Amino acid sequence: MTPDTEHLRVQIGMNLSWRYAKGRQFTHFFKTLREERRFLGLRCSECRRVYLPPRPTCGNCYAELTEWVKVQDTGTVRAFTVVYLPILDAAGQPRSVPYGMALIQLDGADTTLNHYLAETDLSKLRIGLRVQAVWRRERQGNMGDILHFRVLEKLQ
Amino acid sequence: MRKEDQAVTGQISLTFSYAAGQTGSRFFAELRDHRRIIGTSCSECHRVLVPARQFCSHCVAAAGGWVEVSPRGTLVSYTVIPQVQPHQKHLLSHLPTGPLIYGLIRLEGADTNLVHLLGEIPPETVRIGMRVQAVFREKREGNILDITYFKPVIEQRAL
Repeated sequence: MTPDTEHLRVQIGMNLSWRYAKGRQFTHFFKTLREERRFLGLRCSECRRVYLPPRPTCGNCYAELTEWVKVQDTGTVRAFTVVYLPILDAAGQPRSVPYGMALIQLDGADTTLNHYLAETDLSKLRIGLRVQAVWRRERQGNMGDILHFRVLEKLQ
Repeated sequence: MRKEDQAVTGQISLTFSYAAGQTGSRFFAELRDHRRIIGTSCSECHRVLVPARQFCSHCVAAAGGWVEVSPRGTLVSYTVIPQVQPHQKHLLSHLPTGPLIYGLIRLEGADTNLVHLLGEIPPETVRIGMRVQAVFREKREGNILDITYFKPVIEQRAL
């Protein structure tokens, strides 16, 4: 084998598109998000757990979830990270880095929501931080209707 | 309720860039610079591997050397793609006409099959065992699409 100094790369681009049904629960959830600028959760009739994002059945009790309850647009950071590698965001679009991501437990919900944080300074982020949703003016009925969550507390 | 309100739509663009490696780089450079298809032969079983590989997948032995193979070969298998997926669309621009047809080609001098496109052939006339030949691209860039597609060999018949 003769050594070859030239090293070639193989470049491939792929565009994938998807379309799936929101289902009854997400359809109602996103409609309220767009029209009323409000979060709704689903409460389990047995264990009283409030699910947000909504889902058809309780993960603990297997009970059908039908009781919609109002959830605040303020919440508490339960986990967070700051993304530095340029990568596609959850909607498949490029997003400029750095950006913060967090699991946020909204006031009135028992589960956490995965969303963006406006704050990207790691020294200012901590678990337990209070945050609030920043709503998009022109809402379309999807998770992008919330731009990101901003920190509510005064930063040290 | 409008149908759009009941669906979530999205799109994702994925880009890949991977190193062809020492052997793959030489294989692609030969295509680009000399319109030559080269393989490697196994130092133990002497099979000729096309595209060129660094080692034999049967013997796990290092390839012994480079072998030039013919741009002509035999169609081992094929499939016609009536419904082109989004990630396959760019391949249609390489063909004079549709549909997209994938072929598995055993080049003369090779002991493995090469996956490529078939062109200049109506899908109803494709048959296993037919003779095909590589059509090289004018502007070559050092990748597998430097061969645009494989077309049928028109055999010269003796009068």
